[in-house]
Amino acid sequence: MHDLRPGDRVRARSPRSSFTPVETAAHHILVAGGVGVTPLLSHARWHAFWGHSFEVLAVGAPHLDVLRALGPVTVARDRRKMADLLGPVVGTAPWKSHVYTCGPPGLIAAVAAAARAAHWVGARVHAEPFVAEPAGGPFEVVLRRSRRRVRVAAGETLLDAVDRVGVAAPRLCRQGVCGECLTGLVGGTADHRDHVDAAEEGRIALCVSRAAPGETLEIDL
Amino acid sequence: MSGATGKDSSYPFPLAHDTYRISANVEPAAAPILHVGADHADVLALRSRILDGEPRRFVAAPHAAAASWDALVWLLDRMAREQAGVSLERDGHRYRWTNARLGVEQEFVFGDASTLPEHPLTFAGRQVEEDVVVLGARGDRLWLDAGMVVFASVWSLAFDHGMSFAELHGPVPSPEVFVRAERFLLRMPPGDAWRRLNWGLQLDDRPDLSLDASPAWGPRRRRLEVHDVGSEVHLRTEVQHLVRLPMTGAVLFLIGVRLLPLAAVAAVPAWSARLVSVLDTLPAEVRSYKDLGVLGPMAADWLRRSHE
Repeated sequence: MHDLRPGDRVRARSPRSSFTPVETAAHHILVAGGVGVTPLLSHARWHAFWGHSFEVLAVGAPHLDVLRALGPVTVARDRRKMADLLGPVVGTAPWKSHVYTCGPPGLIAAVAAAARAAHWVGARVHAEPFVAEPAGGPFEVVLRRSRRRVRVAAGETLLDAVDRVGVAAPRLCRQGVCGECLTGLVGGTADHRDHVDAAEEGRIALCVSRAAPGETLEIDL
Repeated sequence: MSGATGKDSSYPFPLAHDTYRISANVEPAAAPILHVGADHADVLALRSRILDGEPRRFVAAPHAAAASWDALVWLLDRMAREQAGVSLERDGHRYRWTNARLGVEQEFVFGDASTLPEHPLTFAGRQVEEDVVVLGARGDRLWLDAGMVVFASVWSLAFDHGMSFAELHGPVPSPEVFVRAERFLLRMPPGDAWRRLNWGLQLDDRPDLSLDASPAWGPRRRRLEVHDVGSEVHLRTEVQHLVRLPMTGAVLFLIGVRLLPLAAVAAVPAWSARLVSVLDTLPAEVRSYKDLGVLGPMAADWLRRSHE
């Protein structure tokens, strides 16, 4: 991406999201932290277009003028003020409300805690972190078909390591959701972190999963 | 009705192997996705007649509004790409739809129900030969949120409305196939289209074998009243398409019914031999699920004798 210049041609696919509005919700609460506002702008436009009931809680988020033109927005001055806001909003929201948070892990955890305290079920709480979870320790992987042995550094994903040595691997969401990068796991025990049950199929999601501590993986790539 | 009997040479014979097992058997869809047979107008007239006589053939949950509009635009756009005399022009949210073959001309505003004479799904469903089902994706599962189905094969849309994918397939043997299928569908990128074929045998040429209409076809089917197997018993092939709708991520499920009398199957020796082999080796639970306990052997015997 960073090598591109204005005027370059790129191939694009339709957008694909794992953080979508739930159409059965009676009310949507969108919680934006900083640039986490990005996907929630689309949510707000969607809800405004369809006439859904929604509100936005924002902390440190840009584009407030756009949001305010779409529907009700409450701005918290800092994270502590946001924490004070969450309890009453979640606690008094109509039954069948859903909450969507995009922001740093701390904000996501605060929203989840407020929802739990208000006796919400987990299925009504949605989040998209824009800061990746800590990646875990280093390990080695054997690429069986390419006959390569690659060291995956701490903080590096298996997918990045494979890219680094120039072996082609499919990918799309990079969050363990879409299943595009699932690759046969031939040897070793993995620490599966995907959401598509790769383990059940004897495969591994290159974008998020790692070796279990002390293990070396062998994959069909 | 001789309508959906597939007189054209492109009959989608559904059996790829000499034995049959229930499977997801999907392949990438190729154009045309929407079938236009020689009897197109008759099929569409029959679809409207059934729907108007029995409004239960259409269902839509309130939360399926966006997905229904998504399905409408996808279907109209598809028709415009595949068929002559059909066009969809767009200016922002405003559309102009022209279907010269049917004399339909309609302007509408996306998402505004007051700009269409009826629900977006029935507006589209009356202009395609395929039955239309919208499966909403929520909580990692698919749900039957909306549809217009007039040619159901021994099921009822109104009864199934609101069921999960797993519940919909409850009566099918091999439930594990449908666990994998649902996961596959939920992973499909927006705009992707896949095709699969399903099949059965029936002792008439009615495309509408809905449970809602079982008083009309059930008694004869139960009595297995057949006078001339070659002309009365039909192979029913369902050309099914699965499309991930681009805006909502809902799965659009299209079911096209193509009926072929056994006499026409017998005219193609390779098809005849394949169907006989499949019927002879059908596992008991599949035979029972497809209600082929008597009809299967009857058809196989007739096909064997027709080649003697």
